[in-house]
Amino acid sequence: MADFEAKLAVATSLMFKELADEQLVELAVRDDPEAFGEIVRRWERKIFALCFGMLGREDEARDAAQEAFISAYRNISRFRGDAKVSSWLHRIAVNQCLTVKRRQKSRSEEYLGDEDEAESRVFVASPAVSPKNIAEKGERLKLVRQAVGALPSELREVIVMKEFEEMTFQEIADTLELPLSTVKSRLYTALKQLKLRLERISVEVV
Amino acid sequence: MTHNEAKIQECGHTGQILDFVYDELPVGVKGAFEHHLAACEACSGEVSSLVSTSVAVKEWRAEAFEPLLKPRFSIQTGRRPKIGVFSTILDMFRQPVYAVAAATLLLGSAIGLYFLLGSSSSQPQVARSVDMPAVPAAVTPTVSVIEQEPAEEAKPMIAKDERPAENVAPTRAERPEGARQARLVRKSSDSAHDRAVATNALPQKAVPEDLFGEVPETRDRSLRLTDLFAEGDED
Repeated sequence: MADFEAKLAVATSLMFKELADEQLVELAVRDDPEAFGEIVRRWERKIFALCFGMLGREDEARDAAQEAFISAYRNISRFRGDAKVSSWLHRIAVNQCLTVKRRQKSRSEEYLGDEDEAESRVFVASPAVSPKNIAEKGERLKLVRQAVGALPSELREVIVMKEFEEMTFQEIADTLELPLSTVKSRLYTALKQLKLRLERISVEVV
Repeated sequence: MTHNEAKIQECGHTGQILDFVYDELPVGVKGAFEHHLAACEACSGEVSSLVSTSVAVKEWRAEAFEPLLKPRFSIQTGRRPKIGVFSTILDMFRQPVYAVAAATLLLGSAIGLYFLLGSSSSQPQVARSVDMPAVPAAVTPTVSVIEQEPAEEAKPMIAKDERPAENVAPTRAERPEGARQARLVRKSSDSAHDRAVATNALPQKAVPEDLFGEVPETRDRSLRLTDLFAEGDED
């Protein structure tokens, strides 16, 4: 009996792998949670990457990604077939990240207190690298994180999708339901602003 | 707009700069743009500026995000291999046919045992053995000691009715105080018990039925036999 159940689970899993996102959503709407599980497996890394790029912190990114999937599952019956599932998930995740950012702003003072702690968790020291280099590199990455975090959300989501999720311009355009030219324009502006912010922050630090 | 940006606008390759930075230019166009970059200082400067910013973000991603994707622990989802005869037999009984066969066999054995015990319980020997105490092996040797007393006379077994009155075992109330104490000593002494077990190795003699004749039925036959032994001591 256990063998049969295991084989059935494997067969179901293989069947789900063959299905398109939209078909999985249809199954999930018909109260098949395993189908939604396959959607989560497919997109969890990308959604987590998006949340990490938008928020800059692991714990918040994990929470936001989880909340995004929960929200998607709760509202799966409202999914319109005219958009891609990936676009729908990305929009939910972006909205979740923006909500988190708004909450952060409202309690920004207490949040800034543990910024350094978050940075210290991120970098793993290699014995081959000197402490000076580690400190310099850590400082540089901290500046990048702060600069990306300070970008307007519409620019930040584009640069995060490009750099973290490595999506093509067309994929970003499809996901955000924007013209291709708008995506390129936003990315160009984001990079330029980032360059300026990095230069300004580094000058301030020095 | 800076002077450099104005020059880029003039040369008409603005739309290709980002595609080149992110390697999304078609192969033919890419070659042509590379030729242009070699000649246009403004475009090459812009490309290097964008690439350096992109590399900074990529570096942040590689340092901060990539380690998070590495699994920190693994979960074994497959079935653990079972080694040994016992597990093989256990696996065999997971199949319904073998499981039902084993259950039937067990049930049949249980029913057979029940009827076997039920039929044998009607025999008197078995009934008496049920009444026997839980420690018969430890008690019977004391009987052999008692039997040695009338060794010279080699008395025949006396029927219950013909037995003289003085040989009748007293009831619990009639027992002398010494006998009761001896019984208590016999019950509490482990060493005495051990001796009794040791003498169990001797060949057993048949216990005459009438030794138990007048003794009221007690839960522990050893008490009665010990009482008899105490009587011998008193004599």
